[in-house]
Amino acid sequence: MQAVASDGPVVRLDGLTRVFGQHTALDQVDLEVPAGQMLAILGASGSGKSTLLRTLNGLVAPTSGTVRVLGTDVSKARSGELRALRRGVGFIFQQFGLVGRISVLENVLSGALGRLRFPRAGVISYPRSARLEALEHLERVGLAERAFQRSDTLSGGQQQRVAIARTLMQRPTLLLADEPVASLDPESAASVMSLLLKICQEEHLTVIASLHQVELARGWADRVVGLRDGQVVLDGRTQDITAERIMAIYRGASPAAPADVPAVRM
Amino acid sequence: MTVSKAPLVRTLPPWTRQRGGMIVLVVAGVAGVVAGWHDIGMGVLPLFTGIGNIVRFVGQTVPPQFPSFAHTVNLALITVCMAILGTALAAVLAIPVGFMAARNTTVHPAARWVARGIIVACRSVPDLVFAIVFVEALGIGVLPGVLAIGLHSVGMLGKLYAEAIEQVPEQPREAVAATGARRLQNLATSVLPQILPSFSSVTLYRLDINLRGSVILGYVGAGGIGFLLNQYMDTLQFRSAVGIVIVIFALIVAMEVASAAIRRSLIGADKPAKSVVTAVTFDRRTVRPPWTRTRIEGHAYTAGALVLIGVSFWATEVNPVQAITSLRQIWDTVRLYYPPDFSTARDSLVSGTLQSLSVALVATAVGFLLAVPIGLLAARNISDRWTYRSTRGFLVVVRAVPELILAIVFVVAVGLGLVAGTFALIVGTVGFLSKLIADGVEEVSPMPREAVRSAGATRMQETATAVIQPSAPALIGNGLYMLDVNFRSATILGLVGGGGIGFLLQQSVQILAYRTTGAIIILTFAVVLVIEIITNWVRKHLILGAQHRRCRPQTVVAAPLPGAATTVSRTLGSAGGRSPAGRLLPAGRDVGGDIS
Repeated sequence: MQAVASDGPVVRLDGLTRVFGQHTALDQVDLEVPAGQMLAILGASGSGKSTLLRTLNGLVAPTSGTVRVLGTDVSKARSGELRALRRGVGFIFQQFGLVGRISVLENVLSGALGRLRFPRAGVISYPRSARLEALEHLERVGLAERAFQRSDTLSGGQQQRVAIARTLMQRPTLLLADEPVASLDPESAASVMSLLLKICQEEHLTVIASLHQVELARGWADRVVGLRDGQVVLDGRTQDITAERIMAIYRGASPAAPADVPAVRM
Repeated sequence: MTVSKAPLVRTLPPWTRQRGGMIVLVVAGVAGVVAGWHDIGMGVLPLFTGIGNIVRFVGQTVPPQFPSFAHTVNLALITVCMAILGTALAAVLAIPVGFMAARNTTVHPAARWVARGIIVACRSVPDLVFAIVFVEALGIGVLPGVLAIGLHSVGMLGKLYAEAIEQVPEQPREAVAATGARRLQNLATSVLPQILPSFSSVTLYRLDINLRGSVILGYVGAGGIGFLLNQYMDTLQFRSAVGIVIVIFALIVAMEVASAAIRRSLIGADKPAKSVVTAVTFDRRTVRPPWTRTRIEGHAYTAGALVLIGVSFWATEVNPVQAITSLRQIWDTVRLYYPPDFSTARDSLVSGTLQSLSVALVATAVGFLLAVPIGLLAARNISDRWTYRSTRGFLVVVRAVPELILAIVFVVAVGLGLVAGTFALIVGTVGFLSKLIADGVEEVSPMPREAVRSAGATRMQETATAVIQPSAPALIGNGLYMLDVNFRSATILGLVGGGGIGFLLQQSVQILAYRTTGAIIILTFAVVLVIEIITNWVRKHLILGAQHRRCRPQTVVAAPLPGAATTVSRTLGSAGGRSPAGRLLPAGRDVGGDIS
């Protein structure tokens, strides 16, 4: 939706630092992501992956450094500009982030909140056109017949599909995904991931996803970025990077984490 | 475990600030109760010597009379309408207050403090006091009663709404914010649907309380049946008074049964399984959800509530615009009470406050001691079916009698004064607290009980270890809450001869000593505030602190063991071995620290 996306990188980080109390979550991160790239971020728990993704749409404010996404300076954006940016940036959460007590359809419709105007601002009801669009997106993720069911009655895999439909409702150009399949069993993880991939390719989205399944990332991403203790320790095209180098990201990341088990996420 | 080989250093849990604070609290509490007991000349004896009075009194009341049954019922229904309108007003006012007071939805820390200030202020001033001021400003009628109930209830509703909002999970809010939604859109989408069931349940509960409270508002001229009751009592027409009491009693029981049924149905509808829509035939033009039973019920309840509110307006002829147009009058009236005059009746003010405090302390303590066993009997998971049912039924009946009427009965039995008020509050406390205790006990996890039973404990030991100990913080919390409630009630009961500061209040209102009344209001407010501060401190440092401490070892455990599983292994381990650390170890307590 943003005209700026065609020229220049979609994401540009310069010296991004984020400190939580005593803990430095992100330490001088520089990163440029061109349009259409599929980027996987790897790293042990606590390496700063989630914080990095959340600074990109302003859910977390940087302590220092600049964050430019789709032509908007996120750190300086006023709340209206920030909302305009978020409208164009899809975000898939590990825990899906669905509102449990409302219907699947209403959850998908919440993706349209950013562009709805008074009087039908989504506070009371949604226009028919938005409802029809939401049903189309639900059909695309294979859950149209569940539209009027309460979303907390769905399985984890189904909930994540609904979250994907909600993101589609935003008509995004950039998709951020924070461990999108980490809470799912292997089977639904595979099917949700392939659905997500298919949609990203069809929509020509720029994708930045944090993942912990190294093999999944290698089979899918154009580029891999490794984080350890908030610093970029690896950055390159997927085909140039060996499994050995990827595993090195996890070693010594934290004394508590066993060196060969990268998948622990509390 | 290598505990048996290590030298045993301590056999009791380590000395913490919580334990020290708890002991100070208990000692201070016992001292206060003993002092209060002497202060009000409390004793069980007058109850027995008063039996004759009660019998004589009851003799004067049968058969009950209904001088004008239609008129009585009409007035009673107006009382109900007044409670409905007051609760509705409070709900409307409490929603913004609740959102501002909740940590996760407030706009600014300052706004949060203002909202919490409003909550405390509204809770601290009894509805009766509000009613006195509003009757003075607007004249005798239903509107002052509605405003009094509304303003006072904002306190409790705002507090409970805020607590419900704070429990809403963070992730959906973050997700909806990430779509670019505005703040209000986000609240409407991700917070409001999640809190609706608890909002409605809490509001209904408050309606129950307000119906009981609205009877007494009639005593000061705020409309409804209390006005008539007061007249009959003053003119010693006891048989007619009892007729009114019977009508009130029936109304309250009906309301309690209805609201309990609605609350159950709300909670039932909240279970996701019930709302599963299977095999919806999907039609591209269907953009509206189908009419499932849950959806129909939801709409029916909303419509029903609106109709009730409409009917209440019509029946009471309350003009909401009048509340706004008379703001000037209300303000002028409030100014009559200022500046407060503490000096004219200084000695009686001090002794009256102390007396009311004594009444509250003694009533809470005695009521608490009685309520624990009764509460256990009323818990489904402790008692057998018949004990459970009869105790629950007994509690419904006890709670249906307004404290005001209890007070009248005890005044007849033991004469005017503090002892009568204390007895009335004890009964009220038992009715209320037993239910809270029973509800709390029913929520206790069954797993530690199984574990303790399988370790060979007797039924008593099992109840003490796996039921009472885990619910102890909630027990103490509820007891402290009752103290707060009882002090306010003690003030009100002074009106019918329960003594204390309420008696002074009644006198100063009658002789139009506004500034002394102002002083009494401020004193009451201050005492409630102090109790509130103490109970909050205790809750935060002793109860929540203890719970927090209890959770900590579980987060250290590497494997994601559920709490109960940890408890099982500890309890079995300590019962099998002779670990003294396990001797005093209740299920679910801070095990990590003691074993090491």
